[in-house]
Amino acid sequence: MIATLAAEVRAGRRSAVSLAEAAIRAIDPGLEAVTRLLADRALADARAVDAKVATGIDPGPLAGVPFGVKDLFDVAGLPNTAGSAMRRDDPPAVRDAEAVARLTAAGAVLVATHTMDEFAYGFATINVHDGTTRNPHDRARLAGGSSGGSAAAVAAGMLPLTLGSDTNGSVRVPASLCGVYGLKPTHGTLPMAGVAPFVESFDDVGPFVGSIADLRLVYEVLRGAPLAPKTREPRVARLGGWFARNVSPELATAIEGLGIADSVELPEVDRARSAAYLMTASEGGTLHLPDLRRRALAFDPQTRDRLIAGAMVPPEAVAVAQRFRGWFARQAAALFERHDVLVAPATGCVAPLVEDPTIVIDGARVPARSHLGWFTQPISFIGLPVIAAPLLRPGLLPLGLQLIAKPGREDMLFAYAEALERAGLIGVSAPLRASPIAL
Amino acid sequence: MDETAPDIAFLTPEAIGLELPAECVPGVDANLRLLADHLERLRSFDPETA
Repeated sequence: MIATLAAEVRAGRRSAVSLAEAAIRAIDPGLEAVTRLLADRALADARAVDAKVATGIDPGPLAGVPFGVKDLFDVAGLPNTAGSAMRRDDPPAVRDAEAVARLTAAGAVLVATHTMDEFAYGFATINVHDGTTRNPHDRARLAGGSSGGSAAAVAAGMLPLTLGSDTNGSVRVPASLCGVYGLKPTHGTLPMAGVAPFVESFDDVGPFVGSIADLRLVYEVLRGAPLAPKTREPRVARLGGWFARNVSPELATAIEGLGIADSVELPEVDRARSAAYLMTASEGGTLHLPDLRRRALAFDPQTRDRLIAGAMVPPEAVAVAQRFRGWFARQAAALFERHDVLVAPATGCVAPLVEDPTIVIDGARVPARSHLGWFTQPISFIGLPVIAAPLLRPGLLPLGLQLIAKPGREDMLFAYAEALERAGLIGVSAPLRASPIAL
Repeated sequence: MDETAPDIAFLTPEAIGLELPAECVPGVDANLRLLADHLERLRSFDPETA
Protein backbone atom coordinates (compact mmCIF):
# COMPACT_ATOMS: atom_id res chain seq x y z
CA MET A 1 0.00 0.00 0.00
CA ILE A 2 2.76 2.46 0.89
CA ALA A 3 4.68 1.91 -2.34
CA THR A 4 1.45 2.27 -4.32
CA LEU A 5 0.51 5.50 -2.57
CA ALA A 6 3.98 6.92 -3.15
CA ALA A 7 3.95 5.83 -6.80
CA GLU A 8 0.64 7.63 -7.32
CA VAL A 9 2.08 10.81 -5.82
CA ARG A 10 5.37 10.57 -7.72
CA ALA A 11 3.45 10.14 -10.99
CA GLY A 12 1.25 13.14 -10.23
CA ARG A 13 -1.92 11.04 -10.24
CA ARG A 14 -2.68 11.82 -6.63
CA SER A 15 -1.57 14.80 -4.56
CA ALA A 16 0.26 14.55 -1.26
CA VAL A 17 -2.12 17.23 0.04
CA SER A 18 -5.11 15.01 -0.68
CA LEU A 19 -3.46 12.16 1.23
CA ALA A 20 -2.65 14.42 4.17
CA GLU A 21 -6.22 15.75 4.22
CA ALA A 22 -7.61 12.21 4.12
CA ALA A 23 -5.32 11.18 6.98
CA ILE A 24 -6.37 14.20 9.06
CA ARG A 25 -10.03 13.34 8.48
CA ALA A 26 -9.37 9.72 9.39
CA ILE A 27 -8.15 10.51 12.91
CA ASP A 28 -10.59 8.85 15.29
CA PRO A 29 -10.49 10.50 18.73
CA GLY A 30 -12.49 7.63 20.19
CA LEU A 31 -9.50 5.31 19.94
CA GLU A 32 -7.37 7.62 22.11
CA ALA A 33 -4.45 6.80 19.86
CA VAL A 34 -3.45 10.36 18.91
CA THR A 35 -2.02 12.91 21.31
CA ARG A 36 -1.24 15.73 18.88
CA LEU A 37 -2.64 16.28 15.40
CA LEU A 38 -0.06 18.19 13.34
CA ALA A 39 -2.41 19.41 10.61
CA ASP A 40 -0.59 22.63 9.72
CA ARG A 41 2.77 20.93 9.45
CA ALA A 42 1.32 18.01 7.49
CA LEU A 43 -0.36 20.23 4.93
CA ALA A 44 2.75 22.41 4.52
CA ASP A 45 5.00 19.36 4.06
CA ALA A 46 2.51 17.82 1.65
CA ARG A 47 2.42 20.99 -0.43
CA ALA A 48 6.24 20.86 -0.60
CA VAL A 49 6.07 17.28 -1.88
CA ASP A 50 3.53 18.27 -4.52
CA ALA A 51 5.69 21.23 -5.56
CA LYS A 52 8.62 18.88 -6.13
CA VAL A 53 6.51 16.62 -8.31
CA ALA A 54 5.26 19.63 -10.27
CA THR A 55 8.82 20.71 -11.05
CA GLY A 56 10.05 17.24 -11.98
CA ILE A 57 11.93 16.51 -8.76
CA ASP A 58 11.43 13.03 -7.28
CA PRO A 59 10.30 13.48 -3.65
CA GLY A 60 11.48 9.97 -2.74
CA PRO A 61 10.18 6.45 -2.20
CA LEU A 62 7.70 7.54 0.49
CA ALA A 63 6.36 10.53 -1.46
CA GLY A 64 3.30 11.92 0.27
CA VAL A 65 2.85 8.92 2.60
CA PRO A 66 1.22 10.17 5.83
CA PHE A 67 2.77 8.84 9.04
CA GLY A 68 2.71 9.25 12.81
CA VAL A 69 5.19 8.76 15.64
CA LYS A 70 5.02 7.59 19.23
CA ASP A 71 5.07 10.51 21.62
CA LEU A 72 8.76 10.04 22.45
CA PHE A 73 10.24 11.14 19.10
CA ASP A 74 11.51 14.70 18.83
CA VAL A 75 9.30 16.75 16.53
CA ALA A 76 10.71 20.18 15.70
CA GLY A 77 8.84 22.91 17.51
CA LEU A 78 7.13 20.65 20.05
CA PRO A 79 8.15 19.39 23.49
CA ASN A 80 8.98 15.68 23.61
CA THR A 81 6.63 14.49 26.35
CA ALA A 82 7.47 10.76 26.37
CA GLY A 83 3.85 10.31 27.40
CA SER A 84 4.12 12.35 30.57
CA ALA A 85 2.18 15.47 31.55
CA MET A 86 5.23 16.77 33.43
CA ARG A 87 7.05 17.21 30.09
CA ARG A 88 4.34 19.20 28.33
CA ASP A 89 5.99 22.51 29.18
CA ASP A 90 9.52 21.41 28.29
CA PRO A 91 11.38 23.46 25.66
CA PRO A 92 10.44 22.46 22.12
CA ALA A 93 12.70 20.18 20.13
CA VAL A 94 15.00 22.08 17.78
CA ARG A 95 14.86 19.43 15.06
CA ASP A 96 13.11 16.18 14.24
CA ALA A 97 14.46 12.90 15.55
CA GLU A 98 16.80 11.29 13.03
CA ALA A 99 14.33 8.49 12.22
CA VAL A 100 11.63 11.09 11.52
CA ALA A 101 14.07 13.09 9.41
CA ARG A 102 14.90 10.01 7.32
CA LEU A 103 11.24 9.32 6.61
CA THR A 104 10.49 12.93 5.70
CA ALA A 105 13.61 13.11 3.52
CA ALA A 106 12.09 10.19 1.61
CA GLY A 107 8.92 12.21 1.08
CA ALA A 108 6.75 11.01 3.98
CA VAL A 109 4.48 13.54 5.71
CA LEU A 110 4.22 13.63 9.51
CA VAL A 111 0.60 13.95 10.64
CA ALA A 112 0.34 13.00 14.32
CA THR A 113 1.96 11.85 17.53
CA HIS A 114 0.64 8.82 19.38
CA THR A 115 -0.35 7.67 22.84
CA MET A 116 2.05 5.53 24.87
CA ASP A 117 2.56 4.26 28.39
CA GLU A 118 4.23 6.98 30.42
CA PHE A 119 7.97 6.90 29.73
CA ALA A 120 7.38 3.65 27.78
CA TYR A 121 7.18 1.65 31.04
CA GLY A 122 4.30 -0.73 30.31
CA PHE A 123 2.77 -3.13 27.81
CA ALA A 124 -0.78 -1.74 27.89
CA THR A 125 -0.91 1.94 26.78
CA ILE A 126 -2.89 2.85 29.84
CA ASN A 127 -1.85 6.46 30.32
CA VAL A 128 -3.29 8.47 33.17
CA HIS A 129 -2.55 11.71 31.32
CA ASP A 130 -3.44 10.90 27.69
CA GLY A 131 -5.96 8.07 28.04
CA THR A 132 -6.11 4.36 27.32
CA THR A 133 -5.68 3.46 23.67
CA ARG A 134 -8.51 1.24 22.43
CA ASN A 135 -8.01 -1.74 20.17
CA PRO A 136 -9.54 -1.00 16.74
CA HIS A 137 -10.71 -4.63 16.48
CA ASP A 138 -12.72 -4.32 19.70
CA ARG A 139 -12.81 -1.04 21.56
CA ALA A 140 -13.50 -2.80 24.82
CA ARG A 141 -9.95 -4.19 24.63
CA LEU A 142 -6.44 -2.88 25.08
CA ALA A 143 -4.17 -2.10 22.14
CA GLY A 144 -1.07 -3.29 23.99
CA GLY A 145 1.94 -1.13 24.62
CA SER A 146 3.93 0.80 25.11
CA SER A 147 3.59 1.92 21.47
CA GLY A 148 -0.15 1.22 21.50
CA GLY A 149 -1.26 4.45 19.85
CA SER A 150 1.09 3.88 16.92
CA ALA A 151 -0.12 0.29 16.40
CA ALA A 152 -3.79 1.20 16.75
CA ALA A 153 -3.46 4.05 14.23
CA VAL A 154 -2.25 1.62 11.55
CA ALA A 155 -4.73 -1.10 12.50
CA ALA A 156 -7.61 1.37 12.28
CA GLY A 157 -6.51 2.62 8.87
CA MET A 158 -5.88 6.12 10.17
CA LEU A 159 -2.31 6.04 8.87
CA PRO A 160 -0.41 3.55 6.69
CA LEU A 161 2.81 3.97 8.67
CA THR A 162 3.79 4.85 12.22
CA LEU A 163 6.93 4.63 14.32
CA GLY A 164 7.20 3.20 17.81
CA SER A 165 9.99 2.08 20.07
CA ASP A 166 10.70 -1.34 21.54
CA THR A 167 12.64 -1.94 24.73
CA ASN A 168 11.13 -5.19 26.01
CA GLY A 169 8.36 -5.71 23.46
CA SER A 170 6.77 -2.29 22.98
CA VAL A 171 6.50 -2.70 19.20
CA ARG A 172 5.89 -6.47 19.14
CA VAL A 173 3.15 -6.63 21.79
CA PRO A 174 0.87 -3.94 20.30
CA ALA A 175 1.56 -5.21 16.78
CA SER A 176 0.32 -8.63 17.90
CA LEU A 177 -2.77 -7.38 19.70
CA CYS A 178 -3.73 -4.92 16.94
CA GLY A 179 -2.98 -7.29 14.05
CA VAL A 180 -0.35 -5.30 12.14
CA TYR A 181 3.29 -5.80 11.22
CA GLY A 182 6.04 -4.41 13.40
CA LEU A 183 9.80 -4.55 13.40
CA LYS A 184 12.28 -4.56 16.25
CA PRO A 185 15.64 -4.27 14.51
CA THR A 186 18.97 -5.63 15.66
CA HIS A 187 19.77 -3.56 18.75
CA GLY A 188 21.56 -0.33 17.94
CA THR A 189 21.18 -0.45 14.16
CA LEU A 190 18.48 2.19 13.59
CA PRO A 191 19.02 5.81 14.63
CA MET A 192 18.01 6.71 18.20
CA ALA A 193 19.01 10.40 18.04
CA GLY A 194 16.09 12.50 19.23
CA VAL A 195 14.24 9.59 20.83
CA ALA A 196 13.56 9.90 24.55
CA PRO A 197 15.45 7.02 26.17
CA PHE A 198 14.00 4.46 28.56
CA VAL A 199 16.61 1.70 28.87
CA GLU A 200 19.48 2.34 26.49
CA SER A 201 20.70 -1.26 26.84
CA PHE A 202 17.57 -2.40 24.98
CA ASP A 203 15.88 0.60 23.30
CA ASP A 204 15.28 0.51 19.53
CA VAL A 205 12.94 2.29 17.14
CA GLY A 206 10.66 0.29 14.89
CA PRO A 207 7.86 0.81 12.36
CA PHE A 208 4.26 -0.44 12.17
CA VAL A 209 2.72 -1.08 8.74
CA GLY A 210 0.11 -3.22 7.00
CA SER A 211 2.17 -5.54 4.78
CA ILE A 212 5.58 -7.14 4.63
CA ALA A 213 6.40 -5.19 1.44
CA ASP A 214 5.67 -1.97 3.30
CA LEU A 215 7.85 -3.11 6.18
CA ARG A 216 10.77 -3.83 3.87
CA LEU A 217 10.42 -0.46 2.14
CA VAL A 218 10.26 1.53 5.37
CA TYR A 219 13.06 -0.46 7.00
CA GLU A 220 15.33 0.20 4.03
CA VAL A 221 14.59 3.92 4.22
CA LEU A 222 15.27 3.98 7.96
CA ARG A 223 18.56 2.07 7.68
CA GLY A 224 19.59 4.05 4.60
CA ALA A 225 20.45 1.01 2.49
CA PRO A 226 18.65 -1.85 0.76
CA LEU A 227 18.73 -5.34 2.21
CA ALA A 228 20.98 -7.85 0.54
CA PRO A 229 19.19 -10.05 -2.01
CA LYS A 230 18.13 -13.49 -0.84
CA THR A 231 20.75 -16.15 -1.55
CA ARG A 232 19.03 -19.18 0.00
CA GLU A 233 15.89 -20.24 1.77
CA PRO A 234 15.92 -19.61 5.53
CA ARG A 235 16.15 -22.63 7.83
CA VAL A 236 13.27 -22.31 10.28
CA ALA A 237 12.46 -23.81 13.68
CA ARG A 238 9.77 -23.27 16.29
CA LEU A 239 10.81 -22.26 19.77
CA GLY A 240 9.42 -24.74 22.29
CA GLY A 241 9.65 -24.88 26.07
CA TRP A 242 8.89 -21.47 27.58
CA PHE A 243 7.45 -20.31 24.24
CA ALA A 244 5.01 -23.23 24.01
CA ARG A 245 3.56 -22.75 27.49
CA ASN A 246 1.04 -20.06 28.50
CA VAL A 247 -0.16 -19.99 24.90
CA SER A 248 -3.88 -20.04 24.11
CA PRO A 249 -5.11 -23.19 22.31
CA GLU A 250 -6.04 -21.22 19.18
CA LEU A 251 -2.55 -19.75 18.98
CA ALA A 252 -0.90 -23.12 19.55
CA THR A 253 -3.01 -24.57 16.73
CA ALA A 254 -2.11 -21.68 14.43
CA ILE A 255 1.60 -22.12 15.06
CA GLU A 256 1.23 -25.84 14.46
CA GLY A 257 -0.43 -24.96 11.16
CA LEU A 258 2.69 -23.17 9.91
CA GLY A 259 4.13 -26.60 9.10
CA ILE A 260 7.52 -26.07 10.75
CA ALA A 261 9.16 -29.45 11.28
CA ASP A 262 11.96 -28.48 13.65
CA SER A 263 11.50 -27.41 17.26
CA VAL A 264 14.29 -26.11 19.46
CA GLU A 265 14.55 -24.75 23.00
CA LEU A 266 16.34 -21.80 24.49
CA PRO A 267 17.42 -22.69 28.03
CA GLU A 268 16.77 -20.57 31.12
CA VAL A 269 14.27 -18.21 29.52
CA ASP A 270 12.68 -17.48 32.90
CA ARG A 271 16.02 -16.16 34.13
CA ALA A 272 16.48 -14.14 30.94
CA ARG A 273 13.18 -12.42 31.66
CA SER A 274 14.24 -11.82 35.25
CA ALA A 275 17.54 -10.32 34.15
CA ALA A 276 15.83 -8.08 31.60
CA TYR A 277 13.33 -7.04 34.26
CA LEU A 278 16.07 -6.06 36.70
CA MET A 279 18.15 -4.17 34.15
CA THR A 280 15.06 -2.34 32.89
CA ALA A 281 14.02 -1.34 36.39
CA SER A 282 17.50 -0.18 37.32
CA GLU A 283 18.27 1.80 34.17
CA GLY A 284 14.78 3.30 33.96
CA GLY A 285 14.74 4.21 37.65
CA THR A 286 18.18 5.76 37.53
CA LEU A 287 17.28 7.77 34.42
CA HIS A 288 14.24 9.31 36.11
CA LEU A 289 15.71 9.66 39.59
CA PRO A 290 16.22 13.46 39.36
CA ASP A 291 12.50 13.95 38.60
CA LEU A 292 11.49 11.36 41.22
CA ARG A 293 13.39 13.37 43.85
CA ARG A 294 11.88 16.66 42.73
CA ARG A 295 8.29 15.87 41.71
CA ALA A 296 7.42 12.22 42.31
CA LEU A 297 3.72 12.94 42.57
CA ALA A 298 3.63 14.31 39.01
CA PHE A 299 4.24 10.79 37.62
CA ASP A 300 1.55 8.28 36.76
CA PRO A 301 1.40 6.44 40.13
CA GLN A 302 1.97 3.01 38.61
CA THR A 303 4.96 4.18 36.59
CA ARG A 304 6.33 6.09 39.55
CA ASP A 305 6.32 3.19 41.98
CA ARG A 306 8.03 0.90 39.47
CA LEU A 307 10.68 3.53 38.74
CA ILE A 308 11.36 4.25 42.41
CA ALA A 309 11.81 0.56 43.17
CA GLY A 310 14.07 0.30 40.12
CA ALA A 311 16.25 3.14 41.36
CA MET A 312 16.79 1.10 44.52
CA VAL A 313 18.31 -1.85 42.64
CA PRO A 314 21.98 -2.02 43.69
CA PRO A 315 24.81 -2.18 41.12
CA GLU A 316 25.72 -5.70 42.27
CA ALA A 317 22.30 -6.95 41.17
CA VAL A 318 22.71 -5.36 37.75
CA ALA A 319 26.11 -7.00 37.44
CA VAL A 320 24.52 -10.41 38.10
CA ALA A 321 21.98 -9.74 35.34
CA GLN A 322 24.64 -8.59 32.90
CA ARG A 323 26.78 -11.68 33.51
CA PHE A 324 23.76 -13.86 32.81
CA ARG A 325 23.08 -11.89 29.63
CA GLY A 326 26.39 -12.96 28.12
CA TRP A 327 25.70 -16.62 28.91
CA PHE A 328 22.18 -16.44 27.47
CA ALA A 329 23.38 -14.76 24.26
CA ARG A 330 25.78 -17.64 23.72
CA GLN A 331 22.95 -20.16 24.05
CA ALA A 332 20.94 -18.29 21.42
CA ALA A 333 23.95 -18.06 19.11
CA ALA A 334 24.29 -21.84 19.27
CA LEU A 335 20.70 -22.24 18.03
CA PHE A 336 21.41 -19.97 15.08
CA GLU A 337 24.20 -22.24 13.89
CA ARG A 338 21.50 -24.59 12.58
CA HIS A 339 18.57 -22.26 11.99
CA ASP A 340 18.15 -18.80 10.51
CA VAL A 341 14.70 -17.97 11.84
CA LEU A 342 13.08 -19.00 15.11
CA VAL A 343 9.30 -18.69 15.45
CA ALA A 344 7.60 -17.87 18.74
CA PRO A 345 4.41 -16.19 19.92
CA ALA A 346 4.49 -12.41 20.34
CA THR A 347 1.72 -12.58 22.92
CA GLY A 348 0.11 -15.69 24.35
CA CYS A 349 -3.47 -14.51 24.01
CA VAL A 350 -5.70 -11.94 22.34
CA ALA A 351 -5.99 -8.40 23.70
CA PRO A 352 -7.21 -8.21 27.32
CA LEU A 353 -10.28 -6.20 28.21
CA VAL A 354 -9.78 -2.59 29.28
CA GLU A 355 -12.02 -3.26 32.27
CA ASP A 356 -9.96 -6.32 33.27
CA PRO A 357 -6.37 -5.58 32.20
CA THR A 358 -4.94 -8.94 33.21
CA ILE A 359 -3.63 -12.07 31.53
CA VAL A 360 -3.23 -15.61 32.82
CA ILE A 361 0.29 -16.91 33.41
CA ASP A 362 0.82 -20.35 34.95
CA GLY A 363 -2.81 -20.36 36.06
CA ALA A 364 -2.69 -17.02 37.88
CA ARG A 365 -4.13 -13.67 36.83
CA VAL A 366 -1.35 -11.09 36.55
CA PRO A 367 -1.31 -7.44 35.38
CA ALA A 368 -1.15 -7.07 31.60
CA ARG A 369 0.80 -3.86 32.03
CA SER A 370 3.84 -5.73 33.34
CA HIS A 371 3.36 -9.22 31.88
CA LEU A 372 2.28 -8.89 28.23
CA GLY A 373 5.96 -8.96 27.34
CA TRP A 374 6.29 -12.53 28.63
CA PHE A 375 7.50 -13.80 25.25
CA THR A 376 9.16 -10.66 23.91
CA GLN A 377 11.30 -9.54 26.83
CA PRO A 378 13.75 -12.49 26.77
CA ILE A 379 14.42 -11.91 23.05
CA SER A 380 15.19 -8.19 23.07
CA PHE A 381 17.29 -8.83 26.19
CA ILE A 382 20.01 -10.05 23.82
CA GLY A 383 19.36 -7.58 21.01
CA LEU A 384 17.98 -10.00 18.40
CA PRO A 385 16.03 -8.65 15.40
CA VAL A 386 12.35 -9.60 15.26
CA ILE A 387 9.50 -9.14 12.82
CA ALA A 388 6.14 -9.16 14.58
CA ALA A 389 3.80 -10.77 12.07
CA PRO A 390 -0.01 -10.96 12.38
CA LEU A 391 -1.57 -14.37 11.82
CA LEU A 392 -4.22 -14.05 9.13
CA ARG A 393 -7.45 -14.57 11.07
CA PRO A 394 -10.32 -12.75 9.37
CA GLY A 395 -13.17 -12.07 11.75
CA LEU A 396 -11.17 -13.02 14.82
CA LEU A 397 -9.20 -10.96 17.31
CA PRO A 398 -5.56 -10.59 16.25
CA LEU A 399 -2.68 -12.78 17.40
CA GLY A 400 0.91 -12.29 16.34
CA LEU A 401 4.13 -14.17 15.90
CA GLN A 402 7.72 -13.25 16.54
CA LEU A 403 10.06 -14.19 13.68
CA ILE A 404 13.51 -14.02 15.25
CA ALA A 405 16.98 -14.02 13.65
CA LYS A 406 20.52 -13.60 14.81
CA PRO A 407 21.89 -10.05 14.93
CA GLY A 408 22.20 -8.43 11.53
CA ARG A 409 20.14 -11.03 9.65
CA GLU A 410 16.95 -9.10 9.04
CA ASP A 411 17.22 -10.35 5.45
CA MET A 412 16.33 -13.85 6.66
CA LEU A 413 13.32 -12.50 8.56
CA PHE A 414 11.98 -10.75 5.49
CA ALA A 415 12.55 -13.81 3.29
CA TYR A 416 10.55 -16.03 5.64
CA ALA A 417 7.83 -13.46 6.32
CA GLU A 418 7.34 -12.91 2.60
CA ALA A 419 6.90 -16.66 2.13
CA LEU A 420 4.35 -16.86 4.96
CA GLU A 421 2.42 -13.92 3.54
CA ARG A 422 2.39 -15.44 0.05
CA ALA A 423 1.07 -18.67 1.59
CA GLY A 424 -1.80 -16.77 3.21
CA LEU A 425 -0.68 -17.58 6.75
CA ILE A 426 0.10 -14.06 7.91
CA GLY A 427 -1.40 -10.72 6.98
CA VAL A 428 -3.71 -8.01 8.21
CA SER A 429 -7.46 -8.37 8.52
CA ALA A 430 -10.19 -5.75 8.90
CA PRO A 431 -10.50 -3.07 10.18
CA LEU A 432 -7.33 -1.89 8.41
CA ARG A 433 -8.76 -2.67 4.99
CA ALA A 434 -11.52 -0.15 5.58
CA SER A 435 -8.89 2.59 5.53
CA PRO A 436 -10.17 5.88 4.13
CA ILE A 437 -6.76 6.53 2.59
CA ALA A 438 -6.43 3.13 0.93
CA LEU A 439 -6.49 3.09 -2.83
CA MET B 1 24.50 -21.03 43.18
CA ASP B 2 27.51 -19.86 45.12
CA GLU B 3 26.39 -20.45 48.72
CA THR B 4 29.20 -18.24 49.96
CA ALA B 5 28.08 -15.24 47.91
CA PRO B 6 27.11 -12.29 50.11
CA ASP B 7 23.51 -11.13 50.18
CA ILE B 8 22.70 -8.29 47.84
CA ALA B 9 20.66 -5.65 49.65
CA PHE B 10 18.41 -3.21 47.85
CA LEU B 11 19.20 0.45 48.38
CA THR B 12 17.09 2.59 50.71
CA PRO B 13 15.23 5.75 49.67
CA GLU B 14 17.73 7.75 51.73
CA ALA B 15 20.63 6.15 49.89
CA ILE B 16 19.26 7.36 46.55
CA GLY B 17 18.42 10.81 47.92
CA LEU B 18 14.68 10.33 47.79
CA GLU B 19 12.12 11.38 50.36
CA LEU B 20 9.54 8.67 49.73
CA PRO B 21 5.97 10.09 49.73
CA ALA B 22 3.65 8.01 51.94
CA GLU B 23 1.31 7.21 49.05
CA CYS B 24 4.19 5.55 47.20
CA VAL B 25 5.11 3.11 49.97
CA PRO B 26 2.70 0.22 49.17
CA GLY B 27 3.44 0.31 45.45
CA VAL B 28 7.18 0.61 45.90
CA ASP B 29 7.21 -2.24 48.43
CA ALA B 30 5.27 -4.48 46.05
CA ASN B 31 7.68 -3.70 43.24
CA LEU B 32 10.69 -4.30 45.46
CA ARG B 33 9.35 -7.76 46.36
CA LEU B 34 8.96 -8.51 42.67
CA LEU B 35 12.49 -7.35 41.91
CA ALA B 36 13.87 -9.36 44.83
CA ASP B 37 12.21 -12.48 43.39
CA HIS B 38 13.83 -11.82 40.03
CA LEU B 39 17.21 -11.30 41.65
CA GLU B 40 16.90 -14.49 43.66
CA ARG B 41 16.02 -16.42 40.50
CA LEU B 42 19.16 -15.11 38.85
CA ARG B 43 21.44 -15.72 41.84
CA SER B 44 20.35 -19.36 41.97
CA PHE B 45 21.64 -19.86 38.42
CA ASP B 46 24.50 -22.27 37.98
CA PRO B 47 25.81 -22.43 34.39
CA GLU B 48 27.42 -25.77 35.18
CA THR B 49 24.05 -27.42 35.74
CA ALA B 50 21.97 -25.38 33.26
